[in-house]
Amino acid sequence: MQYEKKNLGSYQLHLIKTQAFKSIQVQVFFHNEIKREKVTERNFLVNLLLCSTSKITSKQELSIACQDLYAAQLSATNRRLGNFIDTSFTLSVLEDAFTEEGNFKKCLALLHEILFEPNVQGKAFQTKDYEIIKAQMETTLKASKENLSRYSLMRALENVDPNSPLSIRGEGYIEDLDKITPASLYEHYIEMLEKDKIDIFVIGNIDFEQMTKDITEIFQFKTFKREKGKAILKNPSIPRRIRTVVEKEKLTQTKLIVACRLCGLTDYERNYPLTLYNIILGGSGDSKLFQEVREKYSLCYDIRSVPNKADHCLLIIAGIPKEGKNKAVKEIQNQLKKMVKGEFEEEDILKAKEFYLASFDVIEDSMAKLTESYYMMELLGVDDIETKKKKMKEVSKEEIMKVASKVKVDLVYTLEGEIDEKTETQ
Amino acid sequence: MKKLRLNNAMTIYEETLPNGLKVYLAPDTARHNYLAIYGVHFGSTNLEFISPKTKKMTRYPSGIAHFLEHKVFEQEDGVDPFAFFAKSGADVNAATSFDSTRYYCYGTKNFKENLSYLIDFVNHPYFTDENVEKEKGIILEEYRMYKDIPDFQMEEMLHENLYQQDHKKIDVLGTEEDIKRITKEQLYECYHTFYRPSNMFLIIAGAFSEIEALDVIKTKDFPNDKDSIKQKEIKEPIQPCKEEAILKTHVIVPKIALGYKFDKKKFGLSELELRLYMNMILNLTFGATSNFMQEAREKQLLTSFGYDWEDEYHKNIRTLFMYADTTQPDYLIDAIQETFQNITISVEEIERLKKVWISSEIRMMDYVNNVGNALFNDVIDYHEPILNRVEFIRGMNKRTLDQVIKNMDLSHHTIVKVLQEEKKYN
Repeated sequence: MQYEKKNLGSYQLHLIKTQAFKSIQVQVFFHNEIKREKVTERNFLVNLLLCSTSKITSKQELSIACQDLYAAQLSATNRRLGNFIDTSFTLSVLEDAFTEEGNFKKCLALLHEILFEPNVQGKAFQTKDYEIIKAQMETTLKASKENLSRYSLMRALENVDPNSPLSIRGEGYIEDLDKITPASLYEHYIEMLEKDKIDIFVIGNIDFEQMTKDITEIFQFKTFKREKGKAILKNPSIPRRIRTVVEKEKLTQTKLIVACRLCGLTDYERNYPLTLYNIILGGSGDSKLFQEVREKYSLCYDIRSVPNKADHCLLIIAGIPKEGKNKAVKEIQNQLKKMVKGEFEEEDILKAKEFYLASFDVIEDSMAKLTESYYMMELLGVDDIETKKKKMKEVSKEEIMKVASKVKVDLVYTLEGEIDEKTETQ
Repeated sequence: MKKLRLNNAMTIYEETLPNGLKVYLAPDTARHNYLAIYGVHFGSTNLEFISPKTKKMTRYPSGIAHFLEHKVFEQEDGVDPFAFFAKSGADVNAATSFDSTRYYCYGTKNFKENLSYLIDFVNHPYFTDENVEKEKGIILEEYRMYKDIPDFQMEEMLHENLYQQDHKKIDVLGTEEDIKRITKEQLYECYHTFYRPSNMFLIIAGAFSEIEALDVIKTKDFPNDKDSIKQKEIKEPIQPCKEEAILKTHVIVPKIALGYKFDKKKFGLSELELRLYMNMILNLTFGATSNFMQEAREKQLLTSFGYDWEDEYHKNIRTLFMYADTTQPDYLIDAIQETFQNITISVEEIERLKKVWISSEIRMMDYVNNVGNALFNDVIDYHEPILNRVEFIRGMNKRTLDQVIKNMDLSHHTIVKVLQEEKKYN
């Protein structure tokens, strides 16, 4: 595998050559500082761009065009990464050796059309697609409460810190929909092209020189982009007490989220000992939480911990019986304390290291993981794969315990059966 | 070992051990990871069979195959399989469906040791009254987790109303009452009846050599396999149990589900041919490139839409399920039924979709999981891997497709509408 990065002024081109795949994947990333009032519009825009172009005027025609190009797959996603909104457009298609000569270039042209030749009239998007997407988003946003696991996660983060970017709902807000117009979307679109920092990744069995030529010919962004600050949020202060929030919905199983703040972690601690800490605590099927809360006390089917490193946050998520809430919270806190006291074995650390290192071994078996790995180096400034492997092997028990002492429970959130809402302190 | 070619692009090996265990190996030196699946033809619908204890036809509690899947991880020596695989950074898990149970491990290292242990732990489970009781709490939480999901509730009702005799009437997890009454003895009876080499199979894909895999498999102890499995034959009538039902739950956007029953004999096609033609009809009539979908988009009728054609090995009935989230349930049901009455598909459309499917078959080989799971599905659906699917696709034609459309008798169906409860929880 070979990797090369080229700074082309208005964007950076990342080329990854590997013979492990029969496809080529092109991913265009846009990132900028996240703003709550713009998130809904960004989602709207991305949906709209994948609906039609100036030449291909309906989603049906666009789907047919993709199929004609040997099932070229076009997709787009929006996500929040710390302080950033990160939007990506992905094209994936078999390389020409399995289709026909020139097919890939036609696919690139289609991706160009999606990004640079939108279906607009003057300085506004076409109203037909606008109305379709608006209706779709309205129902999707309204329905976000149907998935109570996801909803409970959103509500927990909103309660952790309503003023922080970590509380921003990546999918957007229904109350913002009416403020969005075909003209405001066009303005947002131009702003995205002109102001967002852009990275283009191409991965597959590619020739670097030829690919650079093809990409620079097709993707010509006109403006130079500045760095957008840091993705990682500012360090949180240590919570003075554990807050408890109980919300009610019509549901059978109680959704429990214990939100912990990661207070004062260094970059090294965040990227290395924290990873092992999380695997041991709740990041695998062999974790302390899984063994105790599920296997020993039969309190849940699923329990896991998830570190949101850029947010300085670690979430412990479980579905529990309502009557088991106190016992589950007590046991989670007990496991957190045991981590601080170092009540885990060297074998646990070795297993966590193996688990982590194995995840690197499979990165090269996935185009998406390879791209993401290099993109995170770019965006979060994390070490390269080889350095990560080397440093992770050296992490000690003391370092994990030090991280454990900086994990502070901030909020115990539950979404339970029945109605009404209250907030109390413990 | 028989050497076979998968779509003339990948070599796979097949071996049947003297005890009847079928082994399918798909080594791929370009990969870093491997997936090993140990499967058994025993799922939630295998509920009535001759008990090895009483030698009489016995009806077992619903959900017992899934319960057994959980308990197979229990070992007499106290070693936890999750912990064993974690030592080498590998993942292990299991899943139960209507007609099968699979245990699988996914890793990058210790291939021989992990494969050996996968076979060992499945072949030597250990049940006690205590560990069976403990599991009930975990499974009931899994059951409650699904019970809170409207899509799950809808599917459960659809199955209940579509089938009269088939045990698909009941969800894979079983009913709450049945889960509570499962005993250690019943689990052993199911285990000894179905977990036997001639009713099981191994599928391995990815980074390993066929020689080392077979060397490991041949040294293992397998359960005794002298009696044949005698199950109650269930004849499912073509008529649904109930034609229409309304489910009121916590949805914001209404949902609809349609279930159709077909008499397989009427089509006069092989299992695979029928699946391919039916999927082609559904894709071109209701998929992204169809007029139906474009109109539905323009009229803002739906936010999600899907369909599923189910093969049922050795059974007389075939089923088609269709699902949608829609703001206008009745209008959409009429639109679907009307569309079914007026299906016309051109040669051009057929050829385009063939190109898409052939591309997908080639791309599938880029990922170990895809290869392993495709082989698994073939063994479940057709009792052997389909080696020349691409050839089948190439041979598809309009004459046969039109014949299938002509033979589609849509009169045996059930409809479930999912509407918002009167009580609102905002």
